Amino acid sequence: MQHLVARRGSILVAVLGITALIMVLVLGVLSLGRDSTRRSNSVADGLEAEALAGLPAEIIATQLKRATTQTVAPDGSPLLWASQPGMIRVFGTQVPAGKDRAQAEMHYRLYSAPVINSTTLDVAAEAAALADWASQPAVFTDLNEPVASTRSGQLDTVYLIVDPAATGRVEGFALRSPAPGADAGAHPMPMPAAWIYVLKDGRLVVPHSTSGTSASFSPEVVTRLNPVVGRIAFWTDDESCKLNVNTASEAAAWDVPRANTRTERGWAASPPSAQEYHRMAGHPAFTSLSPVLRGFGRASVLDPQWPKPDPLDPQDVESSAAWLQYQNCYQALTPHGMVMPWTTGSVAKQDRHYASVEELRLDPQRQNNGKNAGFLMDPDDARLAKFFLTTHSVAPELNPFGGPKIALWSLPQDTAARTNEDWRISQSSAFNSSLTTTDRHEFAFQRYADWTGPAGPGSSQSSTDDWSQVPRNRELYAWLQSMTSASIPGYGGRFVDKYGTVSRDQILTSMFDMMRWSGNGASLPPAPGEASPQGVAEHSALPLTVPGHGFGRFPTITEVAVVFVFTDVERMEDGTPRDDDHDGICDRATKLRAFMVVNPFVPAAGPPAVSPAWSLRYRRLMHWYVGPGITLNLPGGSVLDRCVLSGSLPLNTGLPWGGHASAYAGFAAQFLQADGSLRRIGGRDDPARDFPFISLTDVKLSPADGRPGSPLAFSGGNIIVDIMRVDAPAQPPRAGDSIQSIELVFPPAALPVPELRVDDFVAGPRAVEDHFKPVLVNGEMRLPLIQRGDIVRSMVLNPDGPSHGDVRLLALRPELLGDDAIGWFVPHADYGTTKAEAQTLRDGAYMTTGQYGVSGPGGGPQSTMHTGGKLLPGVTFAGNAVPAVTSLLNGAMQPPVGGDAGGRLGDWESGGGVLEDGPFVNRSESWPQGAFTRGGTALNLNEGVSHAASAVMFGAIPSGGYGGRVNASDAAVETTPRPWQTLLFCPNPAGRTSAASGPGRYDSKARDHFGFASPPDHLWMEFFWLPVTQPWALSRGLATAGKVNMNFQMMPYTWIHRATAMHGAMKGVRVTAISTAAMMAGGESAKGQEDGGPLGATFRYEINADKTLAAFEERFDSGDIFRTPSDICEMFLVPRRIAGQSYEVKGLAPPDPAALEAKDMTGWWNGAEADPADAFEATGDNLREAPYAALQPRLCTQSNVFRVHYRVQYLRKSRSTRPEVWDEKQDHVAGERRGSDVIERRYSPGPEPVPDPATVGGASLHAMQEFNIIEHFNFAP
Amino acid sequence: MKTPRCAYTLIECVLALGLVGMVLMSLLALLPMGMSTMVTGGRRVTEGRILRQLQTGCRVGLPTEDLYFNSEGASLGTVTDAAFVVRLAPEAGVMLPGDTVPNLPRVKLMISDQPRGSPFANELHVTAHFLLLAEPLERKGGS
Repeated sequence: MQHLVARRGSILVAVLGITALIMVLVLGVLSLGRDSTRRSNSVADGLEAEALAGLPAEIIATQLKRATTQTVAPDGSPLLWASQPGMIRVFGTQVPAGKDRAQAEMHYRLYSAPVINSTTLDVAAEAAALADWASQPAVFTDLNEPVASTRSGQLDTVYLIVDPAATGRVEGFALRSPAPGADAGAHPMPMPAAWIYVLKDGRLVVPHSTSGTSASFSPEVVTRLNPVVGRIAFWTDDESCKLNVNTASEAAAWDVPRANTRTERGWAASPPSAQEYHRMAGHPAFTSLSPVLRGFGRASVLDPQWPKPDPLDPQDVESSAAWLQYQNCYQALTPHGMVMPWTTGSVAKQDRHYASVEELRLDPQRQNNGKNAGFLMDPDDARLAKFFLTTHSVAPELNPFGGPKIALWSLPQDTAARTNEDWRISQSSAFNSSLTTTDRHEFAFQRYADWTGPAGPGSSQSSTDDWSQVPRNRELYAWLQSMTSASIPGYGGRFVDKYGTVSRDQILTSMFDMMRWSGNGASLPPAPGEASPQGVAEHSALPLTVPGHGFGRFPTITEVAVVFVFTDVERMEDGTPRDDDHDGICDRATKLRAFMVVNPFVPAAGPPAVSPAWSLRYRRLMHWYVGPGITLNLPGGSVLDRCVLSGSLPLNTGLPWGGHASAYAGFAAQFLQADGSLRRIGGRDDPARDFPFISLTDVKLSPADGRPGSPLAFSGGNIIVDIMRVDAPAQPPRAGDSIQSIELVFPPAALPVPELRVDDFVAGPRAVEDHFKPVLVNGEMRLPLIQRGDIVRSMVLNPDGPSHGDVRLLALRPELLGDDAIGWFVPHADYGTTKAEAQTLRDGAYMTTGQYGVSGPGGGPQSTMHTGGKLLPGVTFAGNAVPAVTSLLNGAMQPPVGGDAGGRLGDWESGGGVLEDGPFVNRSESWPQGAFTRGGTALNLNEGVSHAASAVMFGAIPSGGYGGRVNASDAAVETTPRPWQTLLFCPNPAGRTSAASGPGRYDSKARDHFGFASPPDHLWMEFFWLPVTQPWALSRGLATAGKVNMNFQMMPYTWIHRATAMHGAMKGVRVTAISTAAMMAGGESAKGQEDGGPLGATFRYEINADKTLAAFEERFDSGDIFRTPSDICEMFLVPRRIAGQSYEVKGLAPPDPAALEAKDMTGWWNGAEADPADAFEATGDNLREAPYAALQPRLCTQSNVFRVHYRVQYLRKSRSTRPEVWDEKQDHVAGERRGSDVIERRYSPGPEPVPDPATVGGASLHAMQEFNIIEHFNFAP
Repeated sequence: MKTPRCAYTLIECVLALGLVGMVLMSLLALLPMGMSTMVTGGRRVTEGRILRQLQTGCRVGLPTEDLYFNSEGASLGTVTDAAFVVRLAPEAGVMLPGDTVPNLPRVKLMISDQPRGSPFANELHVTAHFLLLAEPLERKGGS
């Protein structure tokens, strides 16, 4: 029984056991499933978050596309866009009342905000809207929230965007004011952005109200079936606001010589070699990396391993170990840097380009990069530098209308004649470049033919071929006409309205003409040498005569003189001169001969020296008499009455003639043949060998005339001087057969018969030929053109006439005949007096040793001081710096015209080196050594220094040659010429009086300069560029790598100042300022010491970037940004003295700008309005604009590369909360991703040929862009 | 006398079977749900992978034909071996905050785990997702 009892119920135990086992198994399976599900969900949440992470880039790509490819407004007017970190603004053409330019019509935010796009923008309100971000976690998040990381083995704080530790280590980076909601100690640099919520159906919403930790949405939109599933926040950086480690290096300041100082001479002696891009101001390699890298590596700011770029005299640079080490640091880091030491010859690196900033740490062998140069960067440094450095930045190179820019380079039309560099430029500036030649459209002016030898002078020696034989040039010209006839987006206004059609076309012609000989000067006839033994027309070009009239490198004239040489006197029967009173003076002159002299003036002056080939013809000289019926026997302009002037003079007379780098080049060529031999005086058979403009025979004076002191009746009369081609046809004068014809009216005069010394006539009649034989005087070759006993009467350029002494206005007129000629020339001031010499003839070969004539001290040549006038009213320049202006000029002042009272200082150019200042047009100086010699002629260039990287080269072109509209509201264009007014590419013309705190003006309130009138002159620069083709194709796809965006304002984080890239762009640029005191009469001047030696002082200044960029910030704060890179020309560059340099000349030092701000710059430059000698008035327009030529080519206002920093969260709503409410405490963040994507905008025209904008027109090229995400970065420290 | 045999009573058997039945029934009833949860989790992972691929792929062009994927989310050329089929259809664009015009193109992705027959007929096997993509969304043929 007991056994039975024991077994009863055991089945239950077994069953329960089995059941329990099954339960365990089943629960185990379920548990595994739950864990698996949890893991799956976690992975899926992550994937959902990843999918969300792609959304910010998609939104930004859409924004970029909308902002940058819609290039026409609904009314058909063009649009212009400009980018900055966080925003793109689109400008139209309508100028609101009270504004001076068009305002932004749309603002495309590149950051998450409750309103992404808006027509208006309040910058301050934009930042203020983020003030309470920290207390509204459901509405805002911090994109820059730091994360703790132990990856390095220690606890680090890592930031996605910017590490506040960069403050103080990186130049141009600071907090302008405390960031809202910031913890000054732990996290001073939050970057809050609004959350945009993503609904299940993809729609994007923002809360319409918020309360504490919750945010509410519209219940009609956010429902239980369509809940929020995620949220995103983002902000987009503009990569062009960073320094590009693949294109930038470290600038070594270099410039063509502007004065005669040791620094300038050192620079001239060592111009950049072909691969020293860091010394070429227009090249992206001239942008410096030191503003960032100096704060990194092993070296600290104070570590001597990274010295500040010291202001060493460049002559000593090669022996400066500190300078070498400094440059070595950077050159070793950059892919194409120059390997030092220079003393043994530098070699350009050809390393791989960096793919990421982190890569900067390591070289290709994975060793510390730059270890030999003392640079060691650790991972923390690389992270910190990412906010300031980039490996990929590109900016579009399109004009304001979205068309291609025209290259500042002239290409041979004959493709077989093109060099490799020609092809590289062509490839960068051509359309459909990979297609057939039919569809290929080049955007560069072309040369019809290059110089090939003495028998093939090329089209530079034709005044029509480059126009008539090159259809592409005509197309580009017409295209420029059409664009300058349209309202310019971003600014409003039309150039054709501002200048009038004639002046506008004159500007265009001048530009086109200048491109023929300056953009690629190798096409011009070279200097004497093996290739050109006789040296004809070296470095010269005829001006274009169609369309309009250009300058060429060619002369016009500033003075025409007639020299009366008394060749014989009354003689005794024994043949000795009659001298009855035995006073040593001949009793009576009986014969004379007259000859003509012109004073050539080449407005396109400067190195390399120029010897234009031209010919000269006088008309109507046969009508001149010296007494009734006594003709001067001068030629009348028959077929052969021409004289050819050409060549470097004289080649075979022992010493060079010189002066050809000066504007007064080629004076002696009137009297000497191209090979230096004498001309046949009075010959009329061969224009190349004869000098015909002399009395054919001795002129016998009336018996009543010729006594000393008695008047000789010179009839005077109208003559015409024709400036002609060398090969002008041998035919009677006819209209249009000359390049320039100028009529002059020599008034009748009573010439004073001189006292002729008996000694001079004892040997017999004087041979007039002696006047044309060069003699060596104190080491100088001279022509004794005017000798003792000669009478000279000349007509000089009239300082009170239409040109007001500005010879450029004369040069651009093909004909000044009849009434048109009235007033342009006037008799010399002594013309009607009894003085023997009424002339100011001037030869560029001489300066301190005097010019022509015998009226100088001790009977020597006339002082150069007497041949030149004054550029500044009442201010006489030193004897070694006499300006190249007519002697009667007392100040190059802009005259009154229309409603413009004028009276302000005008525009003229400072001569380089020892060369004088004056009204020149050439800014493409090469062969800088040539600026320091008057004794040399043109030499073969063994190194070319292109100074045409920027359209600032056009800054000396007269902008009012045929008038302009004085007031924008005027119905008609005032056609009176506007002398001393050239295109304005700087904010500080000498005539500016309005305060630098505001814009320059040309309106009813102030007339600083006509160039300020709308549209501003600097917009001309936007039609041109110079592609960067070396050391690699930085310019391709109508864009250039490595440019720096001027719009560094970070929207909406305006409390952060990041102008580092602009610091890098400005680092190597020098401002040149020559005080008037340094030029005034006295021993030395900016042109050198009295003995010609260089000054120890300098006229160069660094740019104080902080102060300069403070004015940028003011512009940004006012709600404006820069629309085009040429806007830099509106900004004052605050100078800073270079440590260790002397600025003292003649014991006087100009005011130190150390304490000045940008707003003080008008006063610093121009001083008091009433005093033309109290500041830097003596600084020419070219020097004022030169820093902008160094900056503008490296700047941009549009970017093609953007980095989107984002934070996204995948959300899960709690079932217990209302669907239209998101509560941070109750709802759940299921997944989060942070990181950044890089979006590149790239020209993508498609397979079909793009229509030629120059001929067909068509859509803006901004519309032909594709957008690619080229980099993903997941922030997972 | 014969010793009485020991045996389970009917009651015992019934009780035991009842208990086993009840437990097993309730446990087995949970299994499909657990399995379904596992399948759902796995499917979400796969769909996430498909979504990520298409987000990148659709930038090049919007496929016009159905796309096939295996259970791992790898793209297949044909329906053979496919575990999922995806169909994309442009939807009305999405407005950015503050905008009044839909400027951000939207694509609806329907993912079905029944790639054969009429894969999108049964809503129970179809999940819908939405992609927002930058313009342009041009149809560029199949995968």
